[in-house]
Amino acid sequence: MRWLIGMLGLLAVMMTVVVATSLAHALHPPSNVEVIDPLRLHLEGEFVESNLGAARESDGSVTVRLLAQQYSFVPRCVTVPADTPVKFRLTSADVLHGFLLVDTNVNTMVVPGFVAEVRTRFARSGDHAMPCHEFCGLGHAGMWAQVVVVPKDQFPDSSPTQRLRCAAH
Amino acid sequence: MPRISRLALAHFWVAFGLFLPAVVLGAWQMLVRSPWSAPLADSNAYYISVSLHGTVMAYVMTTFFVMGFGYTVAATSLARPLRGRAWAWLGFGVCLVGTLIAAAVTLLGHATVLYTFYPPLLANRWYYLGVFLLVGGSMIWVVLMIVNMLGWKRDNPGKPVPLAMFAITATAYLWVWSASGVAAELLGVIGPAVFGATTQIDAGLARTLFSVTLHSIVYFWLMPAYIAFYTLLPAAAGGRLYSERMARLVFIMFLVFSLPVGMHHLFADPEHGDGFKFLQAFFTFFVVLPTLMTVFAICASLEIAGRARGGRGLFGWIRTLPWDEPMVLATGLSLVMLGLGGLGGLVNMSYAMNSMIHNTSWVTAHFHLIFGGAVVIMYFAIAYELWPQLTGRPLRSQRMARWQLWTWFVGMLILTVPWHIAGLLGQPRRVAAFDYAMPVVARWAPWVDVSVVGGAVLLVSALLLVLTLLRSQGGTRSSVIAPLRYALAVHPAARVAPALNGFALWNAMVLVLMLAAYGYPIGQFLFVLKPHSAPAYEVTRPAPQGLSP
Amino acid sequence: MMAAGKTTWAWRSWASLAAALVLAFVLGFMVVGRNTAGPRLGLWAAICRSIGLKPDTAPTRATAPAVVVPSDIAWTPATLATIASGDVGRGEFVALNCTVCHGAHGRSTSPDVPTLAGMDAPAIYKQLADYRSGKRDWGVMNGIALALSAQGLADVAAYYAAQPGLPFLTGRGNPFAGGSLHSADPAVRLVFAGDPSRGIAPCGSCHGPDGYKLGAPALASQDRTYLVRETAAFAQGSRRNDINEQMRTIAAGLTAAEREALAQFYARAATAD
Repeated sequence: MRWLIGMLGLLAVMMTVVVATSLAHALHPPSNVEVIDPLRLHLEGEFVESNLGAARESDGSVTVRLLAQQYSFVPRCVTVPADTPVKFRLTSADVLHGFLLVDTNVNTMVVPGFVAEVRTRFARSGDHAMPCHEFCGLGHAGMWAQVVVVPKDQFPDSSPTQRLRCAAH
Repeated sequence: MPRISRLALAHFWVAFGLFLPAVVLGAWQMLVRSPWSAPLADSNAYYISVSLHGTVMAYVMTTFFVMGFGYTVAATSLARPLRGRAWAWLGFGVCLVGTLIAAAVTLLGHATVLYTFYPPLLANRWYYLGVFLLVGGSMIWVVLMIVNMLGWKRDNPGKPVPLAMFAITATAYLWVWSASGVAAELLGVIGPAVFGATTQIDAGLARTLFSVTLHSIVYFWLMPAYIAFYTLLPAAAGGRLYSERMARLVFIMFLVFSLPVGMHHLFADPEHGDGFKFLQAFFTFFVVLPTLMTVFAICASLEIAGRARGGRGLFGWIRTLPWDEPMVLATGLSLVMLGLGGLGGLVNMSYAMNSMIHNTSWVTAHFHLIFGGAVVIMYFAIAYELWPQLTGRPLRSQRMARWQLWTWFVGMLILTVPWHIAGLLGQPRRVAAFDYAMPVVARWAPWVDVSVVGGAVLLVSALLLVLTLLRSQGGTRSSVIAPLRYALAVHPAARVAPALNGFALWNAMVLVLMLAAYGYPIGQFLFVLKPHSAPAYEVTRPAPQGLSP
Repeated sequence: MMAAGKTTWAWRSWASLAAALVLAFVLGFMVVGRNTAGPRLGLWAAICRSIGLKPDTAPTRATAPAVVVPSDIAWTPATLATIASGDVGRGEFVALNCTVCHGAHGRSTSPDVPTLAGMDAPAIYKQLADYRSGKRDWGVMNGIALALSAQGLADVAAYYAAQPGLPFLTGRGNPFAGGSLHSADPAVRLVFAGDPSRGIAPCGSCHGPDGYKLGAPALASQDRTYLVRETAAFAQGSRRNDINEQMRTIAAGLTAAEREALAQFYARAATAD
């Protein structure tokens, strides 16, 4: 009985940590449920090819739009500034894919029919490999992309309608 | 006892007979993923192997083992023959047919969807039919467990159901609740697509329905191991069970809390809000409780045994335990792996930490350690414990059994510890081939190399297992096989509260919890969200008539 | 005694469960969801967000640039039904006009004119539709496609798909094909294993021999010069009708020598085993 109380106490501590961090650091799992038609992504809407890439918002943040498909991410390389709020928005044109920036906790599933959104802030500049981490078919092992984080002042000043990508390297 | 033997042995031989080739595939897969070149390395072959390995280990080996164990428990703990043996054989047949169909289709390359078969990926319809038969056939087992327990209760009014039977019936109830998720997915989402009623498939709904099964199924797998902890281990160690009441509570808690928690597999998914993700994470904390209670209860029971054998001091009782008993040895090794794997599980269920490792090798390493390690090693121990009774021949030999358990333990640690690290370093899952010339991949190479060795050790261990069981079964009959002894409690209860002797109350609670935790998350796909289906992607498609592929 | 015991258990269990549920709902929907990276949400907004009813509040749409559409074709059930309605007999009649360049029964004998025999009907249909709309540009083909009726596109596609020639991709690969990242031949490596370092998936996973993808034509026994020309066009961006840039992304990562080697590999590949 005492053991049971002790264990409940331990769990209560962990629970409190989860709640507290979510309040203090706004650490949440993805929570916006947006639906989209995976078949018409290239015809209209947010994920047409001319709208993919990094976009500077009016409040100084950057929104990166990526499309996942069998078997590539488009664009395959994106540059983002450090020390800036960055919002990644992804969707899939066909099957389940995964989105992971190695060495970060930017990590989400890309489910066809839904828009996945992850918000983060990169503290340091550097390259992050971006492999697909959910089995999406025979080409899954080749589905790699890249995010390049540059110092804030090296990120190009772009107009609101510009969408930036880097040359893959 | 002999009457149940053929039924039980049939189940165990299907389980272990398919287990061995699945381990071969696993060891090969570790090699293919590594910097070394492997024979027949090819994406197609790799993913077929992963599909087979996963299907056999997660669905086939486990289901057959649990069923065989359940029939044995029913026949031995209730001290009367199993009711419905003919039905049991029918169930076995249905499950076996389903298994063979699914395995054949996968081997032929038409079901390369991995054991999670996430839509919109779609396998050949025969694969799903095979899985459906396997799950459906096991429902006969579920009914038989319930019928046998209720029958005994009716004939023994007011008496407590023997703990092992109570626990295996809890497992049966858990299984039917758990399987409802994948059954709904197969019937409601995949079925229409695979039989041509629609070409569009709701990936979010499919994933959510599957998540109902995905976590609770691990408790279906785990319960036999815990039943062994509570009912076989104390006797094998020469002691008594610390508290039977606590044991009943543990199994009830597993039944109640293992189901409304599946969404922690969907933390990173965009189709659910964080409110329900939090809710299910909250209840996941509760499902940790019975494991913590079990660790305490088992240590207490072992301490009783150890001290009865002359152990003194704070830890002296550990030394005096009969470690040459496979059941005792396996428990010790299992608790070590349970501790490590459990810590990993606590990481997975906290969504802030989870986002670091979701769908990386950490996840694969975690479930190999906790399931392939802590749980499956107890399956081996149960087999060693039951084999003499089932075959009428002594185990040949205890020494080989101990070697097998040790190599499984060591191999599993060598396999999974570096694998966890590779996952922390960002290694993605389900990749057929890595280019180790890439700097980010090269960092994983040393860890992957070590894991390959672990796979090889596990292969040796699996061979030892099958050899030991075969040798034992092939030995000469002995008339001095002691009957199976279930552990007695320190304070055996003459009476037990009806709530701890039946499941009506607990099933009602499960229903309420499932409605609260999954009602809206599933309902939203049907009633709230606008259309969002994607075209199904058949992994293989039939060539049109008259055209050669 | 028994009834009281049952009631005690039931009462305590339900009470605990209710308390746990209330706590979980309050925390999950009214507390944890309130702090976001943006403004602190009001109670109602937090509840909606936690259920997943409203997307997060921060602006998501900057001024959008002019929309570029690579192809008017989307693989909707309606489009697939149109393609399936193609009649082989009518298509054969229409295709009499195509033989002068594409060869009898669609087997091209001219260098850099593609073989159409055996090509997947959706692939042919889409290219014809793209020629029609101008999304794909090849002088003479634009005029020809415009001259065809909408049904004619489907009929021609059905006719060529039914001819023996390019293999039909079932997606079921040969596990013993021997292609991996360890292969010595660069073309074999790219076809069966791709190049993860450049984010290039195996060609075979869409174009065969292993794998298939809707709209991706089989390449085995296709004309070598044609393949070199088209992959170069994707790489340079002069051909832009691939949905979601899937071919432009891949081709841009390949060197000219690799495009040549791949074209040779596929041109020499057998049509049927």
